Amino acid sequence: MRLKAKIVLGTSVFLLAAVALCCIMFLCFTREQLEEKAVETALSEYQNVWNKFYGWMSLPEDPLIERSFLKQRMSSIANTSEYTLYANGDYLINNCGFAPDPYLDASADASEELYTYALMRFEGTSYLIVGKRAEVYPTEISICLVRSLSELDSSMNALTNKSIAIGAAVSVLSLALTYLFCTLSLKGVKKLSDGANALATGQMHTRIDIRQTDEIGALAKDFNLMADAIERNMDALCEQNERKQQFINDLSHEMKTPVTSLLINSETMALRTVSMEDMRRMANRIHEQAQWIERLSQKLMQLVLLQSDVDRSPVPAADLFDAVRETVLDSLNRSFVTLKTEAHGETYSIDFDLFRSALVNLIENAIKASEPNSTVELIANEDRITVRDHGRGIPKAEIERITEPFYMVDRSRSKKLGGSGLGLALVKEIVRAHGATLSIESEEHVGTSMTILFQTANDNIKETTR
Amino acid sequence: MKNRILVVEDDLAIAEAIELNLTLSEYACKVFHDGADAAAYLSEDHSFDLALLDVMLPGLDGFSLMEHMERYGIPVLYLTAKIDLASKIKGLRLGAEDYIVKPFEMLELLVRMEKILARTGKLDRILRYHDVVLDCTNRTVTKSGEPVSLQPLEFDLLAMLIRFKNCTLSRDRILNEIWGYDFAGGTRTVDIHIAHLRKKLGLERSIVSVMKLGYRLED
Repeated sequence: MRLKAKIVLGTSVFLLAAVALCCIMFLCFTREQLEEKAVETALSEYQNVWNKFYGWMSLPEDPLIERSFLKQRMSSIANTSEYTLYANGDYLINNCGFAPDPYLDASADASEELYTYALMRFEGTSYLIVGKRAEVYPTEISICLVRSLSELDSSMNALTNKSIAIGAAVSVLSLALTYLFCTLSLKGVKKLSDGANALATGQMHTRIDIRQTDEIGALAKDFNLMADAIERNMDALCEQNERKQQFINDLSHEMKTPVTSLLINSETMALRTVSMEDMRRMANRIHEQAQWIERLSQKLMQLVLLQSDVDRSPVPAADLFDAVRETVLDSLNRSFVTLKTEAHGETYSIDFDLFRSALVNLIENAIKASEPNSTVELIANEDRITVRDHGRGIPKAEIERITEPFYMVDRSRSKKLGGSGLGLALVKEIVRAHGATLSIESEEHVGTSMTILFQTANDNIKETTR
Repeated sequence: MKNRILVVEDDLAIAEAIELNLTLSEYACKVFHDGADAAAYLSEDHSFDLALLDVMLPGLDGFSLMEHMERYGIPVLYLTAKIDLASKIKGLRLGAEDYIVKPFEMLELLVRMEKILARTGKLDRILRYHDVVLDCTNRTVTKSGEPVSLQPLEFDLLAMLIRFKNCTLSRDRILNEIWGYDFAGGTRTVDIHIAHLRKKLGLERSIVSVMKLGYRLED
């Protein structure tokens, strides 16, 4: 788990730095405080000593006497182990092991009654030096308080050790918690990765079961949504593919019959000795079959062309119906069927040629189903166009299947009437390409009505936003 | 005696073409366009030597017709547009002798029919062409009663020509049927054997060479 390592490592570096910084700041601050306190104590002590030493003092004139006097006076006032006395370039009292005066700020003006102090280290021990110079003419006197801060040092050392221990403990604990937390949080990532792999290898039913509420949980949810979408699309593709395969199977089956007939008849004419009458009959057969193949291939071409987009423009129903009537006129006259059209100024946004072809197909079907001297109606009514006949009707069980390519209710009758089995399939495709639906109602011996129902503009919007 | 053939094929054009060809090849045939009609007819008259059945039929499909054929011991050859293996296997497993996939050539069908008839012993063992008589059992040939000596392959070729009388046979088809698919020699072999037959039996006029196609034995 490299992500986990990265997170833990990054966190630990940051954490250690933060803890170390905190400890150092804490120690510095503490030391400062302690030193300040020590300085305060030392200053007040020193002031006391200085005042006592300096007040009511008149120096003997003899330098020797003066020295012992000063020494005497100092010893009586203060603890000489901590104080040094300096006069005329010489230390009269100094038990601290070094000369403290140079450490003090020399620039401090002696005339002002200010004490100066300094913190210094000597041989591993911290010292606080407080001092002041004064001149009791002609003698220059300096008294220093040299206080060892070894106690402070040792307590600081102890504190430092404690800080390190606590810091280390806190760091280790935090690291452990981070690790644990990471492990728990990233557990989902492994599941996600497994799921993605399963999906990639084609196990389309893979879903990820993560009930975390964090981003990983959200990611898992998104993943599942994606898997749903992929599965849906795959299913749709498979179905489409199956439909295409079915169509090709049906088509090749459909082609077999005319091709077989062509082959046998032409072969017989070429290779056998047959009578003139038989010869003519076979030539007729060949002609019929060739015509049929031609019709089939025309329908097929239309179906293939439908795969590209339809070219829509507003078409008045009346114009469309006129064009349709013109095309089916021959069939109508041959079958003695009347076509009644009815439009009330409707306009549809459609591909004119395709729709004419669809309506012609529907009407040709209606004519085939009709008895002579009956009427076929072509009616536009707001969002629908209906083709109605009063013919033989379609058996209930067949209605579902009649729009399937190559499906024919009565095969031999359809073929005799020049049906290819593709007409309704073509109509359905044209209607579908326009976003409309084809509904079929039929009752045997009463008639059939086929209705193209357009989606209204609102419905179209709903359809796309869904 | 002509062999009687039952044909059940729903496509009128194909049925008609088959009927015409079978008649020309001296078969007696009975054609039905509906499976149920054929089944009904069988209960009255079932003396058929072979049945050619389409698989997809109105009324009763070809596979269902099989049991009727079995009941009367009629061998079956399926004419099927279904190219998928499953339906072929189904047809053969049901007891069909053979199947032929549409679109097929008529001569191919005739050859297969011959083979089935030969297998089931329904084929005439004596073939006649004018004064030439072939006895397929003993493989002897006589012309006007006089025995003629023929090579085995010449005998087979003559039998084929007589069976497919009035029918142009391509050199390739003759090669395939008599010499077999794996024969390495060229179509010249056929020409040589035809020349021998013409000479031995005096059939120079009857065996007609058809330009670019092959040979035909004419009545």
